[in-house]
Amino acid sequence: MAPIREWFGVYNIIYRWFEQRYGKKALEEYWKYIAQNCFSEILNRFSTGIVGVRDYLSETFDKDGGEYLSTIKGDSLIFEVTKCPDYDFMNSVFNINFKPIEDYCKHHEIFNSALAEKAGYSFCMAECNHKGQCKWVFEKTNQ
Amino acid sequence: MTVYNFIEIYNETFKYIEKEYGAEAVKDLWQTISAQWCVHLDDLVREKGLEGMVEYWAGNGGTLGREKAVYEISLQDGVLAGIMHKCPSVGELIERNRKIYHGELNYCNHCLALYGPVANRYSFEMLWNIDTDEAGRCTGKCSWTSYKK
Repeated sequence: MAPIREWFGVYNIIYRWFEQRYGKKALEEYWKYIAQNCFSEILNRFSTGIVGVRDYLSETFDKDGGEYLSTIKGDSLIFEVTKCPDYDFMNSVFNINFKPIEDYCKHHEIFNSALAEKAGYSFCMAECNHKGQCKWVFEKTNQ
Repeated sequence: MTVYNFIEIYNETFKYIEKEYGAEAVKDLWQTISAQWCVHLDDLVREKGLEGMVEYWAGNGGTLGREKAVYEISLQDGVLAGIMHKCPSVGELIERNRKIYHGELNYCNHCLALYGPVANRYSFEMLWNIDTDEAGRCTGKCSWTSYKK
């Protein structure tokens, strides 16, 4: 299906709706539900190994218009987001409702942690400036 | 998360909200999305009426073209008529083998919930006819009309 970049803004509207109606904890519970009930195709990619994780992330950031640096060291991946496509889009359009919520980036942490865990990795949001730059670290676990 | 997962997430979001908070909460979310996201459609309808709706869905860069929907839209004698032969988002859910939201409300209800209030704001009626299978589930086919009240 063709991607519609405005959907980044709809993610943000949904997140804000949860937060305003039911609170931050409810928003995180929602993200956990989504992490457990979506993304089977991504999990298949992650499960092929650390190169699969890097390749999936690289492909999606390329398609979404993001920019990044990636480094693999052994079974670890450092994925540094230098231009987040979500922030890039939301800050480029004149719609006050597309202003990212304070915890917008937290969904990456919850989604990636769930996917990484299922694929035998840990995930750490090592850095995040909440302005579209962050550093993700995936490391193989001993399981 | 990438926009390529949007439809899958959207569908699961509706299921989750109905399960946790009830169908009224789903309606509330749709009202919010309508008010906060459909601002471009709002601009077009305010400025151009039914022609604006046609432009939104079927114009150059219109949403249905971008989503690669199979559809027809006509505007004749003050009545907009749309026919969706193959809804891209329902198609994607089927392709991904996802169970389509079907509770007190169903996945396809979100279109009228999003677009209807915009039409009504400018005194246009909007009616939607959603095709469902024997179990009442969306098939990805629908038709809709809009005209001045």
